[in-house]
Amino acid sequence: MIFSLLVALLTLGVSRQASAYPWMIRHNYTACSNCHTDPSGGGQLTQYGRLTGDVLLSMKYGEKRDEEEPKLGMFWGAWDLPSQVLLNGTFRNLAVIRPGQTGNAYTFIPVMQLDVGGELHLGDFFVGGTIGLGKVSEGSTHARAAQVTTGQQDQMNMLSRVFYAGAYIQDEWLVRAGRLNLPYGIRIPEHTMWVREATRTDRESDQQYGAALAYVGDELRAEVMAIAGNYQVNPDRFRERGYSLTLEGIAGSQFAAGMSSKVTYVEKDRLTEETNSVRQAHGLTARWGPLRSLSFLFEMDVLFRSGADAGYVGFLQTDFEPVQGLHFMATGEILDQGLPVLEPPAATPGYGRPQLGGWLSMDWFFYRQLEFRLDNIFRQEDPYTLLGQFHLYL
Amino acid sequence: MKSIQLFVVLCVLSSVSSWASFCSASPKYPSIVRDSEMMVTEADDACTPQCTLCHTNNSGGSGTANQPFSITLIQFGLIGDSEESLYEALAALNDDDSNIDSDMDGRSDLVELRTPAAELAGLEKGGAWDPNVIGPGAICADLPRYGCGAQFAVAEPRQSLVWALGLLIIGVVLSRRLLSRLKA
Repeated sequence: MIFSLLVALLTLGVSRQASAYPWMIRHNYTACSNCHTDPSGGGQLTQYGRLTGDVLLSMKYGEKRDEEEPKLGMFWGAWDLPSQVLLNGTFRNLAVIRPGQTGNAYTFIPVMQLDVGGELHLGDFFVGGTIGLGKVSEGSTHARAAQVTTGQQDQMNMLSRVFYAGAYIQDEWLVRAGRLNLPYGIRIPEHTMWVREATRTDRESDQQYGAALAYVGDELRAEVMAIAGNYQVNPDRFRERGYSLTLEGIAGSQFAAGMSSKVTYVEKDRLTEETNSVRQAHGLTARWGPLRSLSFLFEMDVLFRSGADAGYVGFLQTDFEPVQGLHFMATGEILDQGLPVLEPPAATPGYGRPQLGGWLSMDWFFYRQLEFRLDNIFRQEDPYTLLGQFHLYL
Repeated sequence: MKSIQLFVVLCVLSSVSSWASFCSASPKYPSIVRDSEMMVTEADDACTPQCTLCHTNNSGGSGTANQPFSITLIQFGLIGDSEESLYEALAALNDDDSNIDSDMDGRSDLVELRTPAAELAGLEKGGAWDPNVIGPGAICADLPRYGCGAQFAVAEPRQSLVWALGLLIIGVVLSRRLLSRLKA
């Protein structure tokens, strides 16, 4: 019975979905698993993904670069790994500027992310994961949920965002168990975008323990995950349990549309302190790459939670790449998380009323595996924020 | 190309070496409140209040600082993301002699913040009384702890093992059935 339901869920929809750079659809990359080992994208690159990054992602400087052979090895080709082993590393720093704000107008975070990881393949079976370091202020909601070590204040902690074991079943099916990214929505890298925060599905620290079954076919991509809770959050009453799933289908080679659904229950919500809370998010996604230099991403979700009015969250992003490696992006966001039904406070933007936001971004992949990004963020009720980050990935 | 690689390595190393001066973009308000002289400071009761002391949820953000105690501090000059304004608002509240009682439960905010919540029955750790909760309510009564196995003194039930085993069994059964169907 359970098996039949799962199969029915997985065969209802349409094709494949978003990677960490879901705008790659404009290069006809509708699937994420070509370049990433995660069937829903992001994180560990395959060898093909490393090659694709070399060829399609980074800026070319003159004819000489075109003639260079793409390099599959680690450290810009200096270290060729055996085919059973994949390694990865990520480093990001961040500068935050809020010019109109009193106090703390400038903040520099030398190490926002420092992760290393890998995957070992033995036939159809594999194990993988990441470890990293993190240091955030006491009270921060970031990084905490991925902690391995138990420092509760502002000291350095070891993090592990994902770790898993799994197996390929035939070519198109994949089963994994461990701490996994939640299959939901468009897997964008902007973890503070409202769609990822409100649905709690970012890749920063929203991962959960559980088991996931994924299907990646030519015209359908789907993943469903049973969420067992985050065992890096204690005690047990703070752990969310339920399911998360996503389906995406392809029409042609440059358009994909899908749906996502997530329902969780928690005895006490660690962020809202609500008790016996059921949270739901259900949404639609679309990706369209009409030109080699232009793509659109769209996601709209409805939000439900116990004891509160329904809400919604969504975004529309366009990405223009006039020269390979240089992206200009414009993003519009909307959010209303709904007011509590009992004793509701006055409605404010984001809570009972729509809150609007916009991002104007520049993303420059200036060399192989190197990225520099600027984001101008305009959000109703929030101060204007400029983010600058340098990103190195291996 | 080697020069670019060297540049990158140097950038990363310099960033990591300067981690000691790490500044977080996240607000430091909770720890400022903890360290203020108005809070209970006995070792067993000192705790860092959650963001919900002022905000309606622990993610914080604009428009969510609607708790009664927050409104009081705003009246004393608190503004968003300005540690200076928080210090000043706390000092002004501390100096105020009008017995401000944000939750109107008959105990002033200062009295509640200075009352150890360990007096409340059944709490593992309490910090001070919560100035947003009518009657007894502890600021730190029920905080999540982060990290593998992190917990307060009381051990939690071993539900985790049951869940993990259950998921593993379901995964294996589903995989086997799926494989056999596909092979057939």
